[in-house]
Formats: sequence, C-alpha cells, structure tokens
Amino acid sequence: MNAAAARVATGADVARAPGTRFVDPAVLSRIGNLALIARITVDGFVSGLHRTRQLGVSTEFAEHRGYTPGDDVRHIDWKVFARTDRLYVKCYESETNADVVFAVDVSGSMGYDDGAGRAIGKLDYARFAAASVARLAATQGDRVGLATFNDAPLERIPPSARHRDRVLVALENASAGGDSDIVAAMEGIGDSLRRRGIVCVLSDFYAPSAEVVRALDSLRVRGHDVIALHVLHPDEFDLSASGAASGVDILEDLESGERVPVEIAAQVDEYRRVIEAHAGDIAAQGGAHGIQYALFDTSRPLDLVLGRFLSARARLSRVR
Amino acid sequence: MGFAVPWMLLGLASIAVPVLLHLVERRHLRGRGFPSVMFVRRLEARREKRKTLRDRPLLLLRCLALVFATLAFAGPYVLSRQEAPARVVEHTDRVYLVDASHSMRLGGAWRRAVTAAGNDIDAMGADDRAAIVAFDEEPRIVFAMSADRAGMKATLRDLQPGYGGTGYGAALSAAQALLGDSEAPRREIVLVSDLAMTGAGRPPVVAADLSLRLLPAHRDVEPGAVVTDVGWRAGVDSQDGSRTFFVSVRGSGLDAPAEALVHVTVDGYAVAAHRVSLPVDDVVTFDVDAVTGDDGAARVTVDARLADGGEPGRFFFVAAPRRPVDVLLVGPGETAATGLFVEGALSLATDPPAALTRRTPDSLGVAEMADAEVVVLAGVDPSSAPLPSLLSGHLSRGRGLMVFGGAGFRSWPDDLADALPVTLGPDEIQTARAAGGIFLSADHPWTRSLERALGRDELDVDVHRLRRIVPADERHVLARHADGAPAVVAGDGTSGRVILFATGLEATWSSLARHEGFAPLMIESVRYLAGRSPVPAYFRTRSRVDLRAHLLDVARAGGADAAAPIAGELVLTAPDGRRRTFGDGQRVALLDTPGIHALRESTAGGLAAALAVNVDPAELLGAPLDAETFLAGVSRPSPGVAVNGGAAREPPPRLELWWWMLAAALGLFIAEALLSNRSGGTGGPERREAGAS
Repeated sequence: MNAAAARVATGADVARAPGTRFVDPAVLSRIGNLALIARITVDGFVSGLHRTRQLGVSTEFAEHRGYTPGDDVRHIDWKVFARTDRLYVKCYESETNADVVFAVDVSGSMGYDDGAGRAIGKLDYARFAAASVARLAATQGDRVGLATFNDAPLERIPPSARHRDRVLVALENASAGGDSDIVAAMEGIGDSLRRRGIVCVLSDFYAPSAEVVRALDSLRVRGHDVIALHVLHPDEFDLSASGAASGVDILEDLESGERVPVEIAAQVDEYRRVIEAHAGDIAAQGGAHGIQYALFDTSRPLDLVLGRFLSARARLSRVR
Repeated sequence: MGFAVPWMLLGLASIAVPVLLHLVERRHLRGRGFPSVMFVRRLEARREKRKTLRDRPLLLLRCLALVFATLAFAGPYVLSRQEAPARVVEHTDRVYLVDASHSMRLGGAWRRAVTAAGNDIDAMGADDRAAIVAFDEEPRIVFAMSADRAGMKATLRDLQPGYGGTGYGAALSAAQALLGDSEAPRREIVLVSDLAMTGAGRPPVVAADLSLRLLPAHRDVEPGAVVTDVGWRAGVDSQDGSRTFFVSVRGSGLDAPAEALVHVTVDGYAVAAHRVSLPVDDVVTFDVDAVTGDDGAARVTVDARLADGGEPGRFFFVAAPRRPVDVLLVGPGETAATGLFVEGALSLATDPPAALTRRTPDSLGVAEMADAEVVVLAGVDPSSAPLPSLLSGHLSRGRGLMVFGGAGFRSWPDDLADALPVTLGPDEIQTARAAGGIFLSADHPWTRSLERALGRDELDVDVHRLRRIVPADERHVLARHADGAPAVVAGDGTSGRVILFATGLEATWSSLARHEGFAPLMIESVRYLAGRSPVPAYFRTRSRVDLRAHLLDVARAGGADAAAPIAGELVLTAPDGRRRTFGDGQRVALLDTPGIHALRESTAGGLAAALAVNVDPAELLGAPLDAETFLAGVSRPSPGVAVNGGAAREPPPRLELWWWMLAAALGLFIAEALLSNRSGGTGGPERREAGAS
C-alpha cells in the first residue's frame, strides 16, 4: 500500500464519530478548494453553486431592471433610487443546490484485495472516493444520496441535505458480494431518482463496453449529469503481479466462481492491452454521450486522483 | 529394531494421499480469486492434462512427514544385545482379581467364579506365578505371588463374597502395584467377576504393558424388587409421633411391569403395607406414615417383593430422634417477602427440621430469645434497640445469629463486636454485575457443608446493592463477591456463632432469595449456627464410621446437651450378634454387614444409638456388563497394547526413538507449511483467501 492510500486507510483507525471513517482530513485539505460544479443547470430550491435557468434571488448580481407593480419591494435598490430618483430592482443569477447521488458497485468483483498490501481493495478505494466527494458536496450545500448495487440496486438513500452522515455510514457498512448487472442496476437507480442531478457511478465495469455505456446513458437521457469512475486494482492490469511466473494457474471468478486455467506468463501483455482497450472504449463511447469518465487505479494516491479529476471537471464546466 | 504396535505401520499407505492430491486434485486446489475472468484467455484442457507432478519438493516433504509420523505411532524401539538373552525364559506372573462384592452372592455367580479361576490356575505353566486379590469396593491381597497352585486353590475355596459394592478401579490399581515388582516377561491381570455395573470410585485403568483377561462369572438375574432408598419427608414431626418417610422401589430383571408388595416394620411391628406397580427400568416412590413412638429411636425395616414371588429386597433405616432447631426470624413485618423466602427455604429442612417463629423487632421479648437456637435478622437494623442487648445475651449462651445486610441495616452494634469484629462501609454501594456472585473462599465448616450441599463453590446471584464489610481479620471472610468484596463473614465461634451477609434478600438488593441455592444455603447455615451435624439414617456396607462422633451427633439431634467428647469404651453389636469393643483410642469401625447395628457406651446409662447398614442397591439391579463393553471402558494409558491377549513384555526398550520420529514429523510438517506458503503449492487455500478478502 502506498503512502497516500495508507493515509486514507489509517484514517479509519482514528476514533471519530460513526460514518466519518472514510473522510480523511488530508484528502479534503487537497480538494477542498475545488468546487464540484455541475455542467448543466439543475433544479433546486436552496441557493448553492450550481447555475439554474431561473433568474431569482441569490448572492450573485445579474442586472437592474425597472420596477413594475407586483415586484417585491425588498429587492428595490434604494441607493440607485437615491441617485436617480427612479425605482430599479436588483436581479440575481439564482444558484441552487444539486442532487449528487453516488452509485457504488458492491458486486463480488469489487471485493478484490491482493492481500499482500500492493494496493488497497477496490471497494475500499471506491468508498474512500465517494465519501470524500460526498463530504465536499455536502459542505457546499449540495444534497447527497447513495445507491449501492450489484445485479440490482441494493441500499438506496435518497438525496437530502441531511443525509450526508447516512451516506457515510452506509458506505462504511457496504460489503462486496453477488453478481453484477450494470444495465439493470442503472435502470433501477434511474427510476428511483425524482430530480435531475449528478450521478457518480463507481464500478469496475466488468461488462462489454457498449453495455456499460448503454447503462450509463440510461441515466444521461433522464437528464442526469453522469460521472463514471472506473476503479481497478493494479493486479487487473498486470496479471503477473500475483500469479505464477510460469506454468498454469487457476483463476477463480469472484462473482461466478468459474475456475479458468490460464498460462499467466503467456498473456500478461495481451491482457493489459485488452483491459486498457476496454477502459478506453468506455471513456470514448461515454464521452460521445456526455458522460465524464475517469480511471481510478487503487495504487494511486486517492487525494491526488480526486484533485486532478475535480480540477479537470471544473475546467470542463467553465468551457461549457 | 521392532515396533510396539506394528499394525500402525499400515498408516504408511497414507502417503498415497498427497501423491493423489498432487496428481488429481491439483487443479481444484490451485485456484486464486480474481475479479473477473471475462478478459482472460483460457487454456485448453488438453494442455493441462499433459502436465506432470509439480511441486515435487513439497510432495517429498509431505510424504516424509507422514512416514515419520506413522513410524512414531508404531512405537519403534531398539533392544541392546545384552538384553536380548533375557527373552529366552518366557514365564508369566499374573494376578487373579476375584470379585467378592455382594452381587457375587447372587444367581450362582460365586460358584462360577471359583470354578473358572480354579480351572485357570490348573492351566498355569510350570514357571508361572500368581497372586490372588479379592475385592469389593476395596482390594485385599489374600494370596501373595507364588507358584503354589494348591495354596491358590485352597485360598479360593476359603474365600467368600461379602456385602460391599464393586470398585474395579481400585482393584486394578492394586493388581498393577503387585505386578510392578515383577521381572517376568509376561505380566497379566485376570479379572474374575460378574461385571456388575457399579464400579464406584476410580475408573479402571490398566497400563499398556500389562495384559488384561476376563473370566466371566455371570449370575442368573431373577426378577425381584429392590428398595433403593428410604428417607425423611421434609417438615416437623407431628405431635403424635407419626413421621412420614418416602420409600423408593425399583424392579430388577423385569421384562414387563409387575406388582410388588412393600411392608414397613418399625421396631418389629408391622405398621404399613403397600402394593405398588413397578415399571421396567424406573423407580417408584411413595410415602409411608408410621408411628415410631415417643423415644424416636425407631428401627425401620422395609421389605419389598414381587407379588408373584421372586427375590425379596430389604432395606434398613433408623428413625433417630431429630429435635427441630428453633429459629427466630426477626423482620420488618409478618408479610415481608424476605421472611417468606426464609420460611420457605427452612420448610425444606429435614436433618434437622427447623421450627420457625417470626417476630418484628418491636414485639421481640426475652422469652422468645431464650427459646431460639438461631436468630435470623432480615431487613432490620441489629443496632436498633432493644436488639443489641438481646442479641448479645443470645450469643453469650453459645447460640447462633444470621444477619442479612439489606434494607434497614444501618450499622453493626458494638455489643456484638466480640462475636464478630467488623465495621461497615458508610454507604450502600450501587453495583452492577461487578459484585455479582457469591464465591466460597475459606476452609470453614460452613463453607464445606454448603459446598457439599450445592455441589459447587459459588452462587451465581445478581447483586445490586451491598454493604461494604471491613473485617478486623481476613480469616473472618467466608465468601466474596466477584469484585473481591467480602460477601459473607463469620465470627470465630468463641462468643456464639455469627454469619453476616453483605447483601440483602430484597429484590432491590440481590436475587439471592430467588436463587436455587438459597434453600441449601439457609439449611446449612442454620445447621451450622445451631451446632448440629447431619445424622445419616443409614450407611452403606463397607462404610467406615466414626462411632464416637456419630453417637454424639445422635444425642445432640435428640436434644441432649452432649457437648463433651465421648471417652471410654464403646460396644458395637452386629445384626448377627457379633460384638466388637472399641477402646478409648479407637474411633472408626468398618460396617461390613447389612442390618441394624447397636452402638452403646459400655458404662451403665451411657449414650446409645442404632446404625442401619444397607448393601448398595446397584449391586442388586440391572444386567451385568458384557466383556466387550467392560473392556471398552478400561483406559489404556499408552497406545498399542493388546487388550485381551498375552503380549510379551519386552526388555526395557529405547523408547526415545518414538520421540525423535515424532519430532522429525513435526519439523517436516512445519517445513511443508512454510514451503507451501512460499510457493503457493498444492492444497494451500491461502491463495484464494488473498483474492477474496
């Protein structure tokens, strides 16, 4: 386990309130100056940092317009009236809060851990990331929710400004198991979301890339801003990392239990190419549908990865 | 080189297991977890089948470990050349263990035993020697180790079974002790017994280098009725002298339920007759009301026989006088729950019974205190007037006091400091489970009797509140709570007997009054405080009884003020009229004859008592064991010795080989584990765990 990952993991050992296990202050100190800004405007009723189509009352001034009967007299700019002897009302670009829902894959494949400390487990990494971003989002006034899934949605916590702690506790209690079916899971999660918002999907995406993109796009077409965070362990890039250097090895699928004899040494490079191509396909096809993709290698420092991802997302938001 | 248990070498076949595992099961054992195999290129099955054995060093280690372990369990030894000639002479020393228990008197068992042993003696080799040990509950050597066959057979003819139980363990130990001095190459124990299913005492153990042979002498089991127990019912005897006993009867050798007639005779007079239906393999218990007369020392005989004949059973019982202990319970009111609990517990007392009087502190007078042998304070303060002076006077007369530290208890009065020097903590302590339980912690007559009654040395009670007691001397502490705080303290008895409990009987203080051990606690406490000892209504045959103590206990139970030890000569008359005299220094008598024995001081007007003695009912009940079942129950401390054969006794072997081979096997197993972990070889589940954790 590298230093950053270890720092995240050992954060669990510090005695804190329940649910704060995966929110490491060191991580938040790196990403806390970044804003999670949605690329599309969303509906909302509490002022926040996300743009909306409505002009309303907020803190960001937009323009003055002449007073007409029926306007709220509290919005009259009395300083302008003093100078011009005319009544103007102040208009603001309304900013609302967004629904941020974390869809975390807890199927059996996410339970992989090398057991030798080369990197932290995939599920741990996913919940560290989800918890960190959830805390950040909640801090800036967004409403956070959670949905865990394997071959169907499991635990669902609807987005709410008061659900941050519930999300963190649920993340802490999540355990890996079962088969995965991302299409059915995303359909189920999409059905359960009543407002448009940001859906952050953390998974290892072990399904054909077209199927993965179709599943994510089912959320996109409902108006959600979809972020696909592809979580992989370094052993999934390098078969030789833990397998025999030569000879035959038996790999057992953590979800189906299928046992497959493989000659590790003969396909190390080929396997790396295939898995990289799979990730590239999801990124390319997803990007074409407006789905933002990021690959999370569990051996990489989590704070660094998150920081880069959110920076890139903020830049992308301004461009759009 | 040889092996003590050569058939253990069959275990060498077990090396086939790792070979098969490496050949056949390898695929199943090498799996490691991987998130998904959807992108993995599968190997063709044909290709893997062509693979040969892998992890050969690991396989070698496993096979070697199994070989060494098998050799170790086979008991290898090496004989030195100097020792080898000792094996030329093959003679046998044996011990005949002859069962002389009561069951051998029945059904022709003794005749068969003597015949079988005699025939075996006739078959002895010319150089063989033998000893004869007769046993019931205790073994006794009746013929020392010798080659004199005629002497052995004469001893057998003179031997007669007694009335004792059967103790196989002690008998086998005695036989092994006899053979322990033997230098013979073959040593053998021959058990001549009906194998009655009693075997009280130690379990049978036979050393591995001795052979054990059975000469069965089964008895013919006739249907009959056996009285298994007679005892008091709880409660104080009625004014007219009638007493209630319970009688337990069991059928023996019954194939179907049968009617039995039970007659109760008191001092030779028939007082009751009952007809009961005996089930198969179960006991019937019924009550008998019998008037035993004013003096109380009644000799009770219970005869049971089947209605259609069969073996009769007889049981003897002495209804010794038993004056109740006068207990005065001082509590806050007549209806207080604590008093009801005490009353309920003492109503179960039988030996002696307890006569309880309840009073409040206000209604207490000198007259009540004068009659009471034991005063129990529950829920009242002993320091409130007029209790200190009354209790002080009570204790000065050598009587007993029991105090529970519950509600209302404020302080320990100075007037009682001589009897029990303690101080109390200032406050009632609220406790959780930290102070729970009462653990007997001292060697004291009260703790010994209570431990016997409870069958354990602790009471698992919940204690919610208690008084912190600080005794002047730690030896006053008889029991403690779980946190070490004194739970029960007692005086030294020089100024009356006092027992003080740190907690109370109220539900807010403890669950003591509701605990199953409360009745035994109260009964034993009252008996101790009253200075009484239990007087057994009967003894088992072969019991050793302290005659002087028993005589004194009987006198005290009857109300006599017999405090001084009994000196002088005692006379014990057996049921058959045989008289034995015990001088001043002799205390213990062996009661070996069933029936009622008469005991008295030789001086005119001295104390007298009767002692009932009965055969262990187990000697009369049930079918004996068969030989296989008996042998299966015999422990053999070392492996690999024939149970019923004539295994030759080898010269002292070099047994250290056994240890070396076992150590080598363990070392190889450890090396195998290390290598398996390192190489991820066959059979290691650790790889899967790493993937799936």
